[in-house]
Amino acid sequence: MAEKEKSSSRTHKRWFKVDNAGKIFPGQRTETWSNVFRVSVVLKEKIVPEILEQALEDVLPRFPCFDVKIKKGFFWYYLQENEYAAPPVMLDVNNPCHRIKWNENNHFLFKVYYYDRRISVDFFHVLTDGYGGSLFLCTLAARYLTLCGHTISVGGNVLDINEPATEDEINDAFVKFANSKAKLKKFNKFVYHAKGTKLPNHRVNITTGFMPVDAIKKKAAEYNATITEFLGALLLYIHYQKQNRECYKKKDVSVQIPVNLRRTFPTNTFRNFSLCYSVRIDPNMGEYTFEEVVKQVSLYLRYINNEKQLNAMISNNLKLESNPINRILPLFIKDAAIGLSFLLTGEQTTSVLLTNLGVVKLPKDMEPFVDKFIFMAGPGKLNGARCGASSLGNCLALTFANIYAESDIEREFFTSLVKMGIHVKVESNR
Amino acid sequence: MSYCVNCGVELDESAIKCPLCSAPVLNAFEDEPEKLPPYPDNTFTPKAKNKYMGFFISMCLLIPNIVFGISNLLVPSSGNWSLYIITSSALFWIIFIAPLFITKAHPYVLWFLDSVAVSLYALFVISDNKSPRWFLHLALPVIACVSAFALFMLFWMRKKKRKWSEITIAIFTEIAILSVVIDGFYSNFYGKDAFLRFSIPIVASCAALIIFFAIVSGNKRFELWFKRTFHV
Repeated sequence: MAEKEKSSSRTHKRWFKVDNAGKIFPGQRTETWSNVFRVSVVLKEKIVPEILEQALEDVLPRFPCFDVKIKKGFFWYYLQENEYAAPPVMLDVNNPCHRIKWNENNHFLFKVYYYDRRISVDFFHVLTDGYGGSLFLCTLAARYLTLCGHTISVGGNVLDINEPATEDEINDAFVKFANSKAKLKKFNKFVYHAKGTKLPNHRVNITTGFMPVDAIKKKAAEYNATITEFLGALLLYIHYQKQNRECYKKKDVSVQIPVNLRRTFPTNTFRNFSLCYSVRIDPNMGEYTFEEVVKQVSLYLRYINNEKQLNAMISNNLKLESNPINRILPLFIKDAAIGLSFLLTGEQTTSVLLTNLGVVKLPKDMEPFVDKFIFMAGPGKLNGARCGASSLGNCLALTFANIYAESDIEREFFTSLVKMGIHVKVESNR
Repeated sequence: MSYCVNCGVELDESAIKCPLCSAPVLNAFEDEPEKLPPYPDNTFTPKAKNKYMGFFISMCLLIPNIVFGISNLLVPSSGNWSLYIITSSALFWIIFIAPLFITKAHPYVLWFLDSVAVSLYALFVISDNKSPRWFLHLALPVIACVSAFALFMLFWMRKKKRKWSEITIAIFTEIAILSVVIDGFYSNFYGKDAFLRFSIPIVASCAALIIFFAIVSGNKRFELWFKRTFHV
């Protein structure tokens, strides 16, 4: 891959601070695992890698905060403009979302794959969240289709590549909006985890279920819930039942649901701007029915999802970063502390993750060329089956990334939907 | 299109079994052209790079050793103390750091290198102030025994994948047997009447731990808790 032709940039390379949410990801990574997620788009034509390479080179300047490599400062990591034009476009692999090594892949922190009709991008979470990833992939797919000779307009998740990125798009929105003085209590009770036979390092079992959005929306409405609330409740209920069957000692069961803060705060940032909150049920309180679990999840999410609460949460997170003592600690100490904290608490406080990207909007003239949009949460360290969802048109794609060989969670999840009368089509790398 | 008879889900056109329950797909229209599976077979296996870490630790060892060596040369009347530090560092480097530089280190080669290095260390350094009899009758037999046990462990673990509980029990058994053997050599060399002096508490502790792990090894809940809590 050719190096960029830059005359002045050799001496004045652009750089970005790692955003508030992204600061923990470099410290969490190990030789065998890093926090990586994947977005994929399935077109109706077979992918030509040469055209995809060209499309990638055309699109990347529109996303300057992705056109970077990560560097170590004395106190913090930072992102510095990359001297390479683009990462290589590679044939897809059976084990996506494997750890990203910083000195591979032309030093880029995302990988672009193609396979048959599918374009996939694996992002290291330090760069962006699911929404930023979907903007990049949709714009890439639109440019690819344009280079193939189709006329694609701008709109929805497709950005105009001839426009420069605005300051709002590349800035850390956490810093912009965090102004709450409220103090929040941390709730770090250890919870139940579904167990199984661990797959070898760098391997993950992927199972994607495709289902009609209108059918699942109708079913969720029967329980007075949204799709996210309904799916989260179903996952929670499956884990609750599994614990009841397998364990004598009952622990809390919780589902972690990231929320896209762009819906609450007015920003179009490409970088991380989401927060996770956990909904939990305590089995020691008594027997739960599915209806009660849906109600619990639904009420809790609606109670917590307001600007003041979210602002308090991001302000509390930002306080950790801006604390003078934390700021002057050398990076290697911060890394060790983050790694240790993640090992001891991290996923110990959540049983399962459900991340719903929501509706992916495409321009009208692009829709006939796109079949599906898939969002996959990266494999966890303790969370067996982590679930990512996204919808395009009337197709909801729900992908499980499981580090265990057993598929009982996925089976119970999809068969529950089938029993409710929802048609599900599955595909997997098993 | 195929459906799983167990799960009721529609399956991908290329599926030969249900990914949820592994029920085989029996398709009456086998003449249909084969479809591409959703994911290719090729897997990406990242290589671990430890050379930078090895280089960094080597530098950290080398610099103080040079300083100690020069200091000792400038003040020869203080004895040859730096020799102990330098040879100890060299032994540490051979055992722990050298494997980081070898891309595919064969465990038997590493075992041989480590055994020779420890023997030479005992010959040149520890026996510096002692008689050759000490090396031949105590140090060498002890090193040979430890090496033999390590070799056995290596062979046993490579033969097939062992459970963590089996490995833990084997390690404690080896520690117990080794402590008795070393105690025997020690008593023989120094002519002490009391055999089994320090090995008794070691054997007792190991026996207790072996019994504990043998009991809990069948307990799946404990095993999973142990794996989960101490995962690295």
